[in-house]
Amino acid sequence: MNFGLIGLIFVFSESSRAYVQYSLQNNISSCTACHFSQVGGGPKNLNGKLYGAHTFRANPSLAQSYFSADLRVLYYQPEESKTSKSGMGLMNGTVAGHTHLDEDGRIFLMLEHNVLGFASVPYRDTYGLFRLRRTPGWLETIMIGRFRVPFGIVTDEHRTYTRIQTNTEWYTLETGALLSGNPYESVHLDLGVFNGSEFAGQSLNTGQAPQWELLGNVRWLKSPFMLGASGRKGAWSTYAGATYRAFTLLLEHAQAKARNRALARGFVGNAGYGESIMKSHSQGWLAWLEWAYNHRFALIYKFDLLIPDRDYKADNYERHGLGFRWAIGPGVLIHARGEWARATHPSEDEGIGTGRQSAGWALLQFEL
Amino acid sequence: MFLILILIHALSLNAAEPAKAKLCVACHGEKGISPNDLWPNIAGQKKAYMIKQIKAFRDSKKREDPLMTPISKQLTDKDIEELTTYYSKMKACP
Repeated sequence: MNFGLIGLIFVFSESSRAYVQYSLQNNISSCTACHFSQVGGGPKNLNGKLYGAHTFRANPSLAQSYFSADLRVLYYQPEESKTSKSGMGLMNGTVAGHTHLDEDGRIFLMLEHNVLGFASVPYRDTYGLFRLRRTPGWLETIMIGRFRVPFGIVTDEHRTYTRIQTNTEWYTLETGALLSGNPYESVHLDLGVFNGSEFAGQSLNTGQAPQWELLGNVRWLKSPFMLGASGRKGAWSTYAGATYRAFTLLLEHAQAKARNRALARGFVGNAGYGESIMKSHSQGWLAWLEWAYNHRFALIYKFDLLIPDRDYKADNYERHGLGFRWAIGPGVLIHARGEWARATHPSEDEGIGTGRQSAGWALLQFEL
Repeated sequence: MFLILILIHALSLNAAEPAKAKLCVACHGEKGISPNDLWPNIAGQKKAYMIKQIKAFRDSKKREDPLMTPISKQLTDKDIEELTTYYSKMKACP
């Protein structure tokens, strides 16, 4: 296993093209307004693709619901660029095929394949979806297969500590069933049942059959406000959002028990320290402030704070990022940010863990 | 720099543009001309027709759309009046 590679994945953990801020600004409580998945993120439907053109005129022949693609080219310059992973690389490349199998559009198939990039897991969203009703209700869809989990703020963001500490990054897909609905206009519910949690579910594993896990997510969204809560075994999250004119603020607090093993894969520089916090109870915070100049350009400030062990609050990781997102063509985005990071544990001070390193990065994204 | 940009933006805002026009722009274009063939142009569209359509999305169960329905629910009658006045006076062909 190449832990350096996995470490780099953590540097650029993303939730794949989901923008909660768009939902908040437009009063859209259901992710299926723009995405096929109830979780949000992943391949987009026709509305999502057209909205994602950011008022540019897209190639009309590409306005379709059958295939999607996503390519990201990254340049990353960390503080310790000679001794850490750094430079230019192909961060992500996925292609997806998707279609309704029946005339009424009630049975839907999604196959998303990861063809290149830092995450070597070949399958992304791979599921069948049954739409039980067209109008809002307690149970609208059942998704069965492998998919991202609806946990906390699903946001297209790098190095989000609340995602890392709860093992809900973009590539931590689960295999099982997800029941979703909108019992009220502003309320969205998810209930997930997974087998072999975090085993990636791409094949059968020894002893996997008895390993079941439940996940719940509830979200109330009525623009300009949003409130939500998610829970799964040993981890929970509360989150909120608000928007006023061009400003959008997202906040999240997450706690997790014995889920810090992800931190040992490059985030924490000192292996001994990483081992010592493996089973501790972590706390994390996320704050995201965005100011949209227009539909193509937004300035972003992001704050992350992680306490790997809540019994030792003085040992923490802090990150402030300032940058922008700029749409330069239909489905073509530039993301760039400068990030200042700090780790207070003595063993992390001079290490090369990604958690303590300040960095600058730029990302060019093409999506269809 | 953050504050300077915000200030420049605030000064450059078109006073005639209703604040909630930002809800329309992503789909119907900066000047009311849709960037794709599937969503309609609204620049120069008849005001009464637009009011009828927006209220149908907002109030009627018979006309539901995953984007227009939730967006229109943010609009008061006064907002709809302002927006339709604004877009109906725009030139249909820029």
